[in-house]
Amino acid sequence: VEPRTPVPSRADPSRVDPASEQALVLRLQAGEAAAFEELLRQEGPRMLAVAERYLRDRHDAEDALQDAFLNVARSIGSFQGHSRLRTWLHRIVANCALMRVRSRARRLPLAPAGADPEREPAGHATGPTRPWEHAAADIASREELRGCVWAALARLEDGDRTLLTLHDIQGMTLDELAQTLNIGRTTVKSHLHRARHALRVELDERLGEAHP
Amino acid sequence: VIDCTRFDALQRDALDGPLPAPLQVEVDAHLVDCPDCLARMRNLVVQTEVLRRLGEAQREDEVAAPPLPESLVRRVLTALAEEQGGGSKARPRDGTLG
Repeated sequence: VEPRTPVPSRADPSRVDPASEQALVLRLQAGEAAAFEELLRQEGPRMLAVAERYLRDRHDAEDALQDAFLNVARSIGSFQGHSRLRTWLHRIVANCALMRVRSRARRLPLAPAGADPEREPAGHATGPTRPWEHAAADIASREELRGCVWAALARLEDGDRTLLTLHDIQGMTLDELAQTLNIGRTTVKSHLHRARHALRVELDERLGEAHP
Repeated sequence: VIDCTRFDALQRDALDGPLPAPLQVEVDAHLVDCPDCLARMRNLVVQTEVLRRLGEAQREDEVAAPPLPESLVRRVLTALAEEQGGGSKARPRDGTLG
């Protein structure tokens, strides 16, 4: 699985010029300890954030970062320079984080897809649904509302949260999800559908309360 | 005319992309008749957009990430040194890892 690599921001102050990068790669390939430390200090903060995006857990993200740098040490010899070092590193970090997501998914199986808490056996929708599109309209700019969404996500079962994080937040495709979680595509769809409704129910309460 | 269960199943199918036109007609007809399903669907659309924007915000935050804690830097470098010292494929020269 190779998750989409984000396009670096134009305002990114941490751009590395190609000549410096090439020199760093040569030092890494020579196994120079100082070069690994330089790479770690230079790219580590961003890569830790990448891992944390997938894992939503600082401790796991730090472990994934360590895994990734061990992988870098093992495979830097085969780095051909066809992509930027940061792009290559991003892919390794994402894969290490996803390995942990997969392992976590095995430990915490997804809830049965049919178990929609909001529906009666006959399939009729129950309970009122309050529209909260206005409350959510400025979610990207308001920390309070962002916190509301994260809090709602935190209340979901781990399997549901993982699916929503990987698909709706990180932008993984259904096929990538199926491969990552080692489950069938149809199963992914059912669980994702259920997870979206579970989050909607949580947000229904939170956004309704925050913005009656 | 489809009921709420069928509507729900079709929403799940729509995760793969737009529904075939005849099914979309059924969905639209149900939404006219069922304000509950309409409200749910509208909130789900907003929710999906909200999560997408959270992802964008997270990616922007990566650029401004603070330096790693020194303890983490040391931990990773120690693990690297142990790995290299343990005889990995990479062959460091003198003064290198390990």
